[in-house]
Amino acid sequence: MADLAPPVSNRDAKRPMGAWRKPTVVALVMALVLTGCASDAPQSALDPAGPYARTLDGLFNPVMWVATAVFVLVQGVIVYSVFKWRRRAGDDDDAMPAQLHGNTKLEIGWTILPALVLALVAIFTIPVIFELHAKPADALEVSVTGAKYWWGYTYGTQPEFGITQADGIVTANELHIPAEQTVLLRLTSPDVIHSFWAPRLNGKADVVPGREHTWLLEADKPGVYSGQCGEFCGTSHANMRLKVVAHDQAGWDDWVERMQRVPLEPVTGSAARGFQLFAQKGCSGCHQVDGAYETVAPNSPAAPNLTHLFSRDCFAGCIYDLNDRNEMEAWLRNPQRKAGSLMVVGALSEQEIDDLYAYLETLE
Amino acid sequence: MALTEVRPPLELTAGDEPLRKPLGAFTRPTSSQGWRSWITTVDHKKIGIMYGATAMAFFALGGLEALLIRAQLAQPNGQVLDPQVYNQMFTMHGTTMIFLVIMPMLAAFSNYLIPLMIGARDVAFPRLNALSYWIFLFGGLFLYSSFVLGGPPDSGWFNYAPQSGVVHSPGHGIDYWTLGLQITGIASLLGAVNLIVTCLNMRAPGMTLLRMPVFVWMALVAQFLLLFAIPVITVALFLLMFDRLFGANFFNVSAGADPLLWQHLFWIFGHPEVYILILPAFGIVSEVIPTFARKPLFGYPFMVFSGIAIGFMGWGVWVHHMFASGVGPVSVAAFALTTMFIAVPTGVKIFNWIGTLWKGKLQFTTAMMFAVGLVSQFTIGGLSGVMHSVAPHDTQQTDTYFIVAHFHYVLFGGSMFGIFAGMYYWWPKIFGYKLSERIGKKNFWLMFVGFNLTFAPMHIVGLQGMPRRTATYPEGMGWDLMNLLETIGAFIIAVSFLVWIYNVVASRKNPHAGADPWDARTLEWGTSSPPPVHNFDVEPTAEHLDEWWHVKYDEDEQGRPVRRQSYTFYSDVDEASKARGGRAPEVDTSSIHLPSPSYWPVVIALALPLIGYGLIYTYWLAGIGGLLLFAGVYGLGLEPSVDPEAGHDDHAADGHPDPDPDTETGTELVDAEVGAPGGAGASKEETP
Repeated sequence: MADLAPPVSNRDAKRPMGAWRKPTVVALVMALVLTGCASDAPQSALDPAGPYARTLDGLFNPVMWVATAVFVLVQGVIVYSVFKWRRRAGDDDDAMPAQLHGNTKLEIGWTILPALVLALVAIFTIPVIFELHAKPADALEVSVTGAKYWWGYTYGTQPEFGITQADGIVTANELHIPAEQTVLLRLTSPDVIHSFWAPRLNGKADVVPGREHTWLLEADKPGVYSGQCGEFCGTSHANMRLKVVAHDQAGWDDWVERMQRVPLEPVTGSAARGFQLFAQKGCSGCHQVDGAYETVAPNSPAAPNLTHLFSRDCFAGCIYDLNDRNEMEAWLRNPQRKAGSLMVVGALSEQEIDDLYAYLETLE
Repeated sequence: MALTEVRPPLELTAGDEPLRKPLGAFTRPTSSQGWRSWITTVDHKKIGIMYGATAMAFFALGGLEALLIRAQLAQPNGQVLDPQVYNQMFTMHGTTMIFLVIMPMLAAFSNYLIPLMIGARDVAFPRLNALSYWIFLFGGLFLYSSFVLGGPPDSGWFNYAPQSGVVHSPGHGIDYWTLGLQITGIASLLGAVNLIVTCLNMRAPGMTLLRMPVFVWMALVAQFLLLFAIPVITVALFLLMFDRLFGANFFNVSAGADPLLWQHLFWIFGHPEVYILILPAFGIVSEVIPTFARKPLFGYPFMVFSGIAIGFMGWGVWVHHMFASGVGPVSVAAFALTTMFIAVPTGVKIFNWIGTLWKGKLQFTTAMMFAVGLVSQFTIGGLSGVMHSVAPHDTQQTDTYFIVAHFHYVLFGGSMFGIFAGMYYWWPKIFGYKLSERIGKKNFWLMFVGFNLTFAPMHIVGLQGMPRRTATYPEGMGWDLMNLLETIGAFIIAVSFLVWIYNVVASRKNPHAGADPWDARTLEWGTSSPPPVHNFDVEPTAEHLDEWWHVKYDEDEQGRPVRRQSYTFYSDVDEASKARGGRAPEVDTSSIHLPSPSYWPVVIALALPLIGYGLIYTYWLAGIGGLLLFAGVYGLGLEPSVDPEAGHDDHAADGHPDPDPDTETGTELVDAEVGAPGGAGASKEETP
């Protein structure tokens, strides 16, 4: 033992310091984890705001704790081994450790034990898969269209929710729902696969062309819940955001009432010129306005219904603030400010933009 | 006639080599030195090195793409990249890292090591091996040529239909992707056939299947996975190619197609692919850890059978990539169960590695640090994997940064750490000298810190609702700090990679490390470093698992290893390696025959991108490529694997009598017959 060459020991003496770095890093990462969770994240799946999201979270949390326990155990044993069994300065290189080839009982044990833990996870998980697939009878039904790069919502006639108009309610990007009410979404796409996702209310469900998928939402309380498209859908996938607005009963009634009013056709001034421009500039080729422009051009790309545009807070996939006039004017000047946008406008003069804006403002 | 019509200029045959009787269109190359020898080589070691060098070059490219992605996402509303370019970057990053880095890197290790570890002279089909490499290289270059020919693909490495169709992706990027991956897929298939036959038929006498090193086992399982998975992705790519180039309707929704067809095909390939990427890395650390723990691998049979179990179970979990796709509750439940239980054999591996560390005498070389790093970091990826199996909650995880974190812990913390462990471990065997340990440790710690700083916060932002594949994100989502840290981490990884490159360059002057610098366990350490072209002067025989260890060490009454006074290497090694009792074998190596170099693999490989360009741009180019391919296959087929002329000359020069030329040309058309030192049948009797 004593006759090991001394030059090696010099380098070995440094090792403990080097090896200490690992726990330091782990501690640093843990600190980051804690600060990360503490920060304000409005779209966080860790902060469920409805029964479905809470069910998911309730399945995830115990698994997270089990995983944390396994993590601590495994990393603990690794770190322990690294320190305990590390070759030290002055060790005799020829003195061999016991040549252990294995231990069948132990190995069978650590095959079966994780299997049992996983079986336990399965017992809790599998029934929930089927529960979440059941369709409640008294749900508000909304047809959701995911299209490049915005969301459309159609509420069919449902008198029990105050929707009496024959062709229901059509809106975009902001999904309005009553709080404490199960909502059944029927998801379809005219182009590529999208995924509807409002993390605080439920997980995501793919919106697949040629198929109709159903998905459930429910919010505990009135509020605005952020979400966005979860499946890559092209250039502007990141800009296909959405909001779910949950109302109390009075708020819901107001909204439904407002959405069933047909806007009046403006007859004078800037808004009336805008009304004409809406057709002349081709807007009405894609965008519908109830009572005025109800027929779009054949083969036009899917575009939001603008009947109640100014009842909303955001537009263009919910990435621009509709309450900021500059945002809408910039959009009319150049819809390509949102890369990949399918909206096409010819060159508009500033006067024409003002007129169009004046008309759009009447659509509330 | 076709042969002469499409014969390229004769520059390939120009040079100082004496012209011999031409066989086919080209004079048979003979040189074993210089750059030309690399182009025509059929030596598995040179091919392995070329695979490795090419893969690391692509690693640099894929890394640059990753840095651009992270630069864009460092802050909300990033302006570094146009969204279109961002989409191209993440598409090419994923495609590159999977198909052009980790797969060929593991092909590099498999190529270089399998023959050495099983005591063979070469792989079963050496010229096919060269063909695999060149097809892979040209496939990769073809894919990357899209950067200068109209833009790379931009719909993700998964390329979901119908986004990948010509309506939504009208450029040629995805054509390059479908054709490029079909080409590299041919390389993978050829390699799989070759290495499977090598493992099964070319083992040294006495090396039963359960005496094969774990690396060979894991590589073998991965090759079987490739053999069955590549055809699936090829079908998918072929259908997509027909949709895009010839107006077929396989994924055309308006013609009645269901886009989920693509997802099923893609992930039936895609999930076994994950195990293709990780199992050989598991094999690497299963060699590295016992060597530096100075103990045998804990529970070798469990390690082997858990690897096989993963190989089988890997086929039954693909729908967990599609839990949000609308496959219905029965499918979701079934695949949630399989996904849970595939964690069992993976857990066994982790525990057995820890069992190997336990009460060992751990020597923390850089290779060992990366290997223990894999055990530690892969565990994290495994645990987040179990979380996906909680299928209802997976709808919150899928397509978010939580998934990005998960698979980087598997593929970077797993595969790449394993690859770096393997490079530091086998470098002295391959090049004769070690990479600097001092620089190597900087390399490891930078990578360990950078890796965790990059990918650990992704778990958090993912659960906080940040979707992946998004070119930008707004302020106020609570993701800003984590994204900034991730970007900093990514640049630390880049620094770590530069340290590695510096190490490769600076270590070239390191002294010769000897044949067996780590006092290791498997056959490759019993031959010289680098090994002779024929691998072993004498044919090894295997009486034990870890045969080379048992050559060097006897056991005392307590079962402790005692170094033998005298033992014999398999080749004539350097003097320093003999210092502790090793002797060189006394054997005449001049009668060892190896397959001769060939130009044909390069010709065949060159034809495939031509066909690719032709299909995209103009069919006559595809016609030329087709003729070249025909000529190349014909040339390779008609060419004897051993050049009879070369054999005669060598013998004449060495003063040995010529073997009978008739028997030689008659029997050596089949590569396998010359590659195996003991002949193909030698190991069969011992196979259980």
